[in-house]
Amino acid sequence: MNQQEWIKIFVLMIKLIGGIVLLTLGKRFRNHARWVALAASIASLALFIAYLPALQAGDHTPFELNYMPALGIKLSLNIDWLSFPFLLTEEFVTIFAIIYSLGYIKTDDRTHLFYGLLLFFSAGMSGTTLANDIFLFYFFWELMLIASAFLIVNWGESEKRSATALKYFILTHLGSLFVLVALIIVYSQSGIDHFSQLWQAFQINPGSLQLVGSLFLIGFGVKMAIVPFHIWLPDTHAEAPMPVTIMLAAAMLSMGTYGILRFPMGFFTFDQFAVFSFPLMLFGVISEIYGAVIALVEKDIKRIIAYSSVSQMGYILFGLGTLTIYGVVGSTLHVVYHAIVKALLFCCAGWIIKETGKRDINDIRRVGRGRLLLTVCTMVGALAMAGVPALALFNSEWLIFSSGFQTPYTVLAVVEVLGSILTAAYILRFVGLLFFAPGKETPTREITPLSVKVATGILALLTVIAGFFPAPLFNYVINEVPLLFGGKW
Amino acid sequence: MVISSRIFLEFILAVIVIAAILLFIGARFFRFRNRRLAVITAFILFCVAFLWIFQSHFQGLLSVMPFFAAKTTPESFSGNVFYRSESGARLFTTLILSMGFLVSIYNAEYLRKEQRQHTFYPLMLMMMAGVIGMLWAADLLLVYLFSELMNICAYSLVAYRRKSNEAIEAGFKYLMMGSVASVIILAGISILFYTAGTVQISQIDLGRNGLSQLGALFILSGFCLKSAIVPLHTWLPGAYSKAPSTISALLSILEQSVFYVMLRIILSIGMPPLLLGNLFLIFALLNIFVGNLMGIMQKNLKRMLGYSTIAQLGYIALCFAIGLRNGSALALQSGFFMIIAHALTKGLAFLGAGTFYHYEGLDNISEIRALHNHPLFSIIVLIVAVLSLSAIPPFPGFTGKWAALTSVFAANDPLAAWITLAFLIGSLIAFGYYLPLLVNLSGLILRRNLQNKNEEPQKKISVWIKLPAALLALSIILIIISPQLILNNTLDAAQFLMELIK
Repeated sequence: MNQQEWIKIFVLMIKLIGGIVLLTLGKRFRNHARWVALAASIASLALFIAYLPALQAGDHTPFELNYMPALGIKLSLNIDWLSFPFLLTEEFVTIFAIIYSLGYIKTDDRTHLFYGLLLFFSAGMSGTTLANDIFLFYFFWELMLIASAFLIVNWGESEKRSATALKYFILTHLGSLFVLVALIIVYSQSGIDHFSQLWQAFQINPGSLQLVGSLFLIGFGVKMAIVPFHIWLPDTHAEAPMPVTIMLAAAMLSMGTYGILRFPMGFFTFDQFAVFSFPLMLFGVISEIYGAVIALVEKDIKRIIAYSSVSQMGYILFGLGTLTIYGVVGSTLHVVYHAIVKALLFCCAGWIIKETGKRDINDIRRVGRGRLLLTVCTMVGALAMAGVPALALFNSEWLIFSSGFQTPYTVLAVVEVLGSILTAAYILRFVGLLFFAPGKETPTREITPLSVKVATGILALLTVIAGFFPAPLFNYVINEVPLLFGGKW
Repeated sequence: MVISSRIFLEFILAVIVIAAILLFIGARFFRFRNRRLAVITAFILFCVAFLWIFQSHFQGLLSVMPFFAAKTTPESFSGNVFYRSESGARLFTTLILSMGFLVSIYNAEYLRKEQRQHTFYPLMLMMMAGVIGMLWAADLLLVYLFSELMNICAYSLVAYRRKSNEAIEAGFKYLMMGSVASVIILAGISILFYTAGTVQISQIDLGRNGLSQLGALFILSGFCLKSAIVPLHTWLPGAYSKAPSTISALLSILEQSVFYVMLRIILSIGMPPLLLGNLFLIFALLNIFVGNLMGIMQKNLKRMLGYSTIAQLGYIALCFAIGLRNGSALALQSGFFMIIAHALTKGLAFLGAGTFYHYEGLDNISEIRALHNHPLFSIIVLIVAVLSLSAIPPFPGFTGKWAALTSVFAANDPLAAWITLAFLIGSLIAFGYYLPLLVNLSGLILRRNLQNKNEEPQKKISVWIKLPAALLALSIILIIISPQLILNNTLDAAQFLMELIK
């Protein structure tokens, strides 16, 4: 095995090993568990960055391991340009979530289990993007789900946590099962289970084409929380402890986008996929507007941001549905930017909740007084979410909107653009009520730990930087285009 | 001179039966305590299992013995009493012997507080002899006799805790339903004997004879009852929950052996595979849905595991149904894979559940979840088992289902979409009870971590319980690492059935 293959394995294994060590031996060094988790996630990111030169040089040889020859299962890992933006997002979000929880999660007798599960959750997401074969993909897809469900069950914020986690698990597992069936149909009809070979040698019975496509889209749509499959999302986001919410909202939702890009859009030819263009755009618009409208009337600040995720996933789905190069690239960029901004907003919400002890937006007043950093960060996040130019999300929204008008469905594009006004509306309500509404200042209950401030500050900085300098990321992300539609786009 | 597997089988059956009798006499006269009895049983079963698994190396051993050497010439013993080589039965025999060995070690601690152990071990050995004989018998009457031996021992073992009314009730229910099944099977055998003039399975041919078909139907329904096919499953949850955990672990293999024997007999006497496949499809759907739906409502841990066994039997039947309908060897292989995986995981689950009964005296999930000082080992063991049962990748339960689904699509079954749907809905419903169980168990681990400063001394799990559970968990990890190993071993069994299908 050469160096590149070792890197592929260890980007993943470092987190898994870290997780196993924390779960089994973590009791001995309970107070230092968080540093182990942080070190593992930073090492993983460092290894991933070390792989970049090889990726640019065009190294696409996957790592392989024979597992079940009788069923044709070979375990395989690979990094290509399609997995790059998602893996990058996931690695960064994990680090920020862990930094955030350094001070946010109080050290007690079970902290090591929390960080162990967090690493497993993160490894599940890395594995999903790294996996190059069907079996491993599904394994990590489930690992992600199980680890997050356990985190919600045991560290949820209210008494309803078990019910919430059960709902989350059953619904997203239903989505996973759709994906599983589609994967198995693809495998049994093509006879190849490696993505790196499959995307060119993909064969499918025309009769089952629409079935497979719908199964994939519904399965990943559940993960992306597209209306009407979004019902698990608000409860889960409101219930999970803040670091987990950050990982769920910023990183895990994007795995659905990755799945759509990797499977139906990666394997089908353009003509085969064209039938799905209109449904994708339609559900994109519905999600966008629905999420925004609910966010406009919700009271719980965590739920407001959660519904804004539903709305933002609508943008992404719309972009994918346009089936134009800039639309798809814009959606991928939107995933990365949305991860930054959503993590930032949840960080700010966690900060506010920590200081005031309240979650109802009507009970919190003038939270900005004497908290300059919080005010600035929230403003940056909120304005970015509203699509203000020169902040992160504007660039990708621009691409998505403009490609919407290149499709035959101009009416949908118009509705989509008009719908973004609603986004601005709920963001203004959010900021306005928290910072500018008249009323008595909400008293401080608890001093926010430094780690929360650090994570929030860096994320705000990243939002601004990403907004001003979109070019580098854009140049990386556009490399994914040759990997779509069987390379014949 | 090569000695056939059949002679070896007779030797092993003889060893087990003689050991059972000697053990009973020995225990009666020398007043052996539980631990010594368990160790002797485990030793016997270890030797037998060792001989069985490595039988090709020991065949010289038998030719030296005069009694067995005399019979090395075939046909010297009133026709074919046992199959000479039957790969499916060999697989089951290996499973039951190894599980018997592990369970005996477990019993050394588990049965410590019970009484009358001197009847327990001989009955267990006799039950295993019954299963093995039934699996290998090539003659309907012998199948019947051995299955009676097996069942009578099983009835009394289910009611082993005779101080408890529920155990007596469960055993009695099992006895009643089992006897009905036996009578029906016997009636079926008599009809077949009347029409065909023989009880040799290989010489019976149903043809278009209506009476023979009735006989076959009788045999089928009788065995359906014994292998707990819905709606004839009602004895199973009670029997599983009230029997000692070790017996429940054995029963879950036993029930599947009965199912396999039924499949083989019905197929050999000439029922069309397509018809049988369709029948199995119906059985499978019934079992999956009823088992999983009833599982959700259960409050007793072992009863829940019993319903999960019913559902798992449904998945196994589904694999065989696919294999029978399409003549797909891969589907049959995945069926055998699931049988092995299920035997190991269900065994592990029962051994894990047994610790709650043994150390805390608890059976109900609502009581178990309130524990805060239960040893970590048994919680983890149970979690591993439940993860595998609920088909979480990469546990064997998932690999088996993956293989089954692959085989459905590879065989181009016309009902592929519906079978898949049934599979998926079934496993989704199953999460309704596996998931709360997992949540409760993970809660136990967390609570242990929170409250380990309190004064209550930590309970220690006896090594007699740890060893077999650890071995089973290791075997599951082995399957995770290399499922191919198991799949290769099922190839012969699948091919044997394929020949019958043709």
